Amino acid sequence: MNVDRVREVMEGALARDTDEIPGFLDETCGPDADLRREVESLLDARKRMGRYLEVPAAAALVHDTELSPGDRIGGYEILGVIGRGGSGVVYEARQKNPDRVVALKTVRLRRPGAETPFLAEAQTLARLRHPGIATVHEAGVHAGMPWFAMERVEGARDLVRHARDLEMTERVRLVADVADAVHHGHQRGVVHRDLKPANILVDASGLPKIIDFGIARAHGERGEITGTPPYMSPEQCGGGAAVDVRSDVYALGVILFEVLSGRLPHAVEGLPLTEAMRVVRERPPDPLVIPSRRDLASIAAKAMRKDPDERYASAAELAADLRRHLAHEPVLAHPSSILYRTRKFVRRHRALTLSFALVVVTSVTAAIVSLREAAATERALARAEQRGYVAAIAAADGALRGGDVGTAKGALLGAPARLRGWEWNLLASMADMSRGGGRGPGGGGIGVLFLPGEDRVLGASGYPYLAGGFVCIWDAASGRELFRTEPLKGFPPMPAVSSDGRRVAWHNWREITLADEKLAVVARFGTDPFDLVFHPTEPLLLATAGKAVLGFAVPEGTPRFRLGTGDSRATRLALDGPVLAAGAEDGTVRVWDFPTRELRWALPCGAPVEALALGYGRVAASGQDGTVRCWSLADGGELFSVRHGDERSKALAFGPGGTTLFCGHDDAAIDIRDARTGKRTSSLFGHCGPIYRLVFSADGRTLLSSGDTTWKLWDLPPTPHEVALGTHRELVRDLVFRPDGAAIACASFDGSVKVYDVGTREPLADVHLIDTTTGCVRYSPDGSRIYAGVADGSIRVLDGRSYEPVGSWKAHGGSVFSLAPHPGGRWLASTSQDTTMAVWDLSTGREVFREAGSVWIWSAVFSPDGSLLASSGTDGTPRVERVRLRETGSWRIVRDLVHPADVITIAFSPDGSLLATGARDGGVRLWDVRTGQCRCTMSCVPAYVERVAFSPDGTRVAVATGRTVQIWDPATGARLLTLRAGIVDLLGVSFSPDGTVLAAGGGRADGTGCGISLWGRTGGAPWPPVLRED
Amino acid sequence: MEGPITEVLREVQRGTPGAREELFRLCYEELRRLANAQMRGQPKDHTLQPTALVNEACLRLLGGSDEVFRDRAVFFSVAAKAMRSILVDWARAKGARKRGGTRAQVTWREDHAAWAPSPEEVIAVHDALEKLEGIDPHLAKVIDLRFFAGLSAAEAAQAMEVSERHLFSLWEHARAWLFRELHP
Repeated sequence: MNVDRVREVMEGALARDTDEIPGFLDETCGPDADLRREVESLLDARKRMGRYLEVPAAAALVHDTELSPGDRIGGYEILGVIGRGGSGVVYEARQKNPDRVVALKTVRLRRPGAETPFLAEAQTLARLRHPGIATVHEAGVHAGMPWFAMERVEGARDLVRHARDLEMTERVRLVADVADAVHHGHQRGVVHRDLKPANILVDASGLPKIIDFGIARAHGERGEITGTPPYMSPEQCGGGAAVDVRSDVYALGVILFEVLSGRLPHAVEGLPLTEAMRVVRERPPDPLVIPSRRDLASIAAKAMRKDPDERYASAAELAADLRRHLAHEPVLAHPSSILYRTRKFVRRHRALTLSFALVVVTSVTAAIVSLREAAATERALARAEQRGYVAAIAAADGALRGGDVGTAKGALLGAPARLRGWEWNLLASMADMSRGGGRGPGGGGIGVLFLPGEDRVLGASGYPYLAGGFVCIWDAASGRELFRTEPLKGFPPMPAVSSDGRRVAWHNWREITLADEKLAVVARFGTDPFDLVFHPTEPLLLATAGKAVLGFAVPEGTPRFRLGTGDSRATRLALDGPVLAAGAEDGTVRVWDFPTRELRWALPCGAPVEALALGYGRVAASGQDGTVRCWSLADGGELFSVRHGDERSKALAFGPGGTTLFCGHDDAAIDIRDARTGKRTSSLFGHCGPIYRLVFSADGRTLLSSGDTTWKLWDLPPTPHEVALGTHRELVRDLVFRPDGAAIACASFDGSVKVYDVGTREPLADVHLIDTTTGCVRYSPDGSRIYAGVADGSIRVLDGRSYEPVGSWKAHGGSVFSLAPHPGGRWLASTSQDTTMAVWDLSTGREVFREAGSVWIWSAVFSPDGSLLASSGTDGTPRVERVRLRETGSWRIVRDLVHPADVITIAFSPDGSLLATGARDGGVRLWDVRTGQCRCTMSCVPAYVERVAFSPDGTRVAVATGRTVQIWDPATGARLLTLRAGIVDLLGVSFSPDGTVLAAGGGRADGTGCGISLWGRTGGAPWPPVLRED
Repeated sequence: MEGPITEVLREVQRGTPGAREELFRLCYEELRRLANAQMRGQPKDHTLQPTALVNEACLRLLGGSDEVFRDRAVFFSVAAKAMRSILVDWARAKGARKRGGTRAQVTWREDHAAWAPSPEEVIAVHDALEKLEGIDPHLAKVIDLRFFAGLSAAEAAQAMEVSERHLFSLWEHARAWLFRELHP
């Protein structure tokens, strides 16, 4: 048989309606019975195949965690796989009790920790009982993978396929039945969110069953896009309005349209998601044309209105209108005639009154029934959300350590906003260190440049190779798009701009386009271009094209000169003063003296040149093999050669002053290297895909980068995540922020008090107090005094601003361990190695109270309202470690809290309701101050707890242990984040008064490089950081 | 810029014996490297994105020359085949791992609707496609481009240099043929 002929007849048959096909085959096949049989058999297979092969093969390789027949999950035994989809696998499974076969769906979570909200949601779903909804029997979590068991729909076909064989009125009735079932869900507060024919099965008896009711919500996250584009309402496509029951009404309108006509109201098949969503938002649906069925067209149109307020207010109203049509009654949706409208008005008002009464009755009943249940669910949800948050933070932290910015951002953006605290802010600032930026249309921001003045950014954007692109100009500060070209045929890789900003050039691999500052085309010329650069002073555009660097006159585009690149195609181009450099595919970097056109060097790069940087008497190039090389232009000698794993650098630029070389890698990192040695000094994180271009502002303080689909602006030099203050000879024993937060004071083992400016990180004072050790330091509440406890048992007083010594007294017979100023400024408590605690009246300088214990008293602290004094210590024999609470003034014991280990540190929560005690066993306990009950124990082992500190809002506790600072949530007792400091032996920790900065002090055991580390808001970036979805 | 395989592409167009095999080898190596890179460090349920891979391979191998436009059709048909070969290798490894090496029965039921294919199904399609290639290579190519390389209808039409309307009929025809072959 002739295959061309089969194809031809198939094409003809596929273009015709089913009833026209026999006639068509009679006509075309004639006596050729073989041909006709082949085509008929193919058409029959096509009828059976449904969506066969529509999901690409790659999806088959996803499901590593698939269950096998015989596996058990909950009370179910897996029999086999029914299907696989983007969100999970559906199995056929047998339940033992009751004995029945069910469909068991496992759900792949989009992020760890989301399983429990899913369970809570599944509880709601299990309450939906309607013949038109596939019942959810049970839900659970198996090895971190949520599953639910639901009714197995026998002999099912999807709605649209089933409807094909039905009369028009039967189809209408079917959709009305579906709308009833959807309404049932709505009455129980569940919006489906992903209604589509594939989710509506029709069983052997012809009854529709909706599956996956509310599932889109259960395994999705709030704010995430859920749904399937042709069936998504404009508000689900980002149209602004909130998603509610009327979003399902919209989907029912689309389904009605499709069931009746076999087509979709918006032809979005094959469009990228964002484009499909835009079409749904902006374009009116196609009109539904069915002869003599104008009512149905009106009903579908009303259900699919862009504005939810103009749609049917409920699925029940839609069902009612469909039934009115079936009963030959006038429908509400009909747009014409005054009679229609009047009737519509009256009816709607009656309906409204009625439905309002109904809602009141139902909700009161529902409220009584579910009040208790709701409270339990609420708690379960809160716990689940909290666990999800902990998992998200852990995932983000782990991903950042591995340099995987995309995963980290995803995890952070998925963390519930309500629970985000200091650690979220810290990780967010690490995941995107940029100051701001923008994104290109079409999903790819490739090459960008500053326009002169640097208030605007020029860039090219598009889908590489598959479609065209755009050249755009954005406002640098806001990221707003100012100008955009018409869609370009061919993808524009790198734009260029003249130094006066009046000429812009780009190319599409075939020819160069020259345009004005508003992107209006001036000229087109040249062939085969690759990289473009304007000459800074002459009216010249330089381009690598073919096996040469070519010069074109601006704006005419007439060729001016040609510099050959041997037998190899030229790739990248750079011009700096009189020096011109070009890379080539043979791995050679050629350097010319531009005025004389004399070739000065041909430098071996080893592999086709991917990127080039020129300046400061040097040239750097990266090759396709991932190597970055740098040469001196003075003698052509190689200065260094480095590799960044297998990842190539597509962007290189010398940093301001030429001391650094910035390398933008395919793995999304921008590395800053020492321009003399090539050694990496730091990295900039924020992009999620390959970096394409790096340029600097004229003042060298801003970097503009483009990568993945975005461009970003970065402040230079970058602020490190951990800022080191001071280099001390000896350990930092204690540290405290000045009450205004602008300075930080520390007590050093070298016998001094040192003060630093938090903003500038400059030292403000270094006051030597004693030759041995200063053990503790505190500011008076007004910041006017600094109190320091030293090793000889004396307390020294310094002026808080001039750092002059203003007083001193002998307080103890041994080293002073801790000092606690009373919040009202009246007393100062001190504890000591001499086993005593003393309280001093600061107005008279007299001792007002002293307690003698039997061991060293490590710590004392006043409650925030000044009414209590807490101190550590032991009591009696056998030793009972306890924390003692005393009433201030009378110094009467109010309560003893028994913490069965050597308590080193005590802290009150900012509202005074909680007391945290940290001990040598690595445990931190939280106590209810009012009742003396231990609320929870946080185990920081294996480590000593040296210091605990609450954040000013009381939502976090920072714990300094031997080598790390740990961030805990005191409400749940969950550890959120562990910071590994550049210094070790952390002895002090404190949040700044505004809660944005965490400081920890300590030192290396060998006594070198001691000091303070700061994390958090250490630069000028906004805090909390703004993290954008890229 | 002239990519490393421009010369090979020219030979393919000239019909030089062995050139197509050489092009396939180059594509296969590049795609395999890219695919491994894409899957490396990803969670184990990460989806491979063949379209992105094929495009990236196109970019890397062909560079950004005029030839890209002229040679796209040739390139895409070979790259799609290479992608298919990679996916089938993976499906085999995966199927073997999970099912102890035995070939599982592939069943198709109507309510599978738009579910993803199983590794077994991928292998079965591959085998049947070899037969179809012997009968009508033009039809087989559509499956390579859409099912294996993951191209959209519009992209596949561009790669095959046919109208989208024609592509639709080829796609339906080819799917029906395979469905009939595998699920009689």
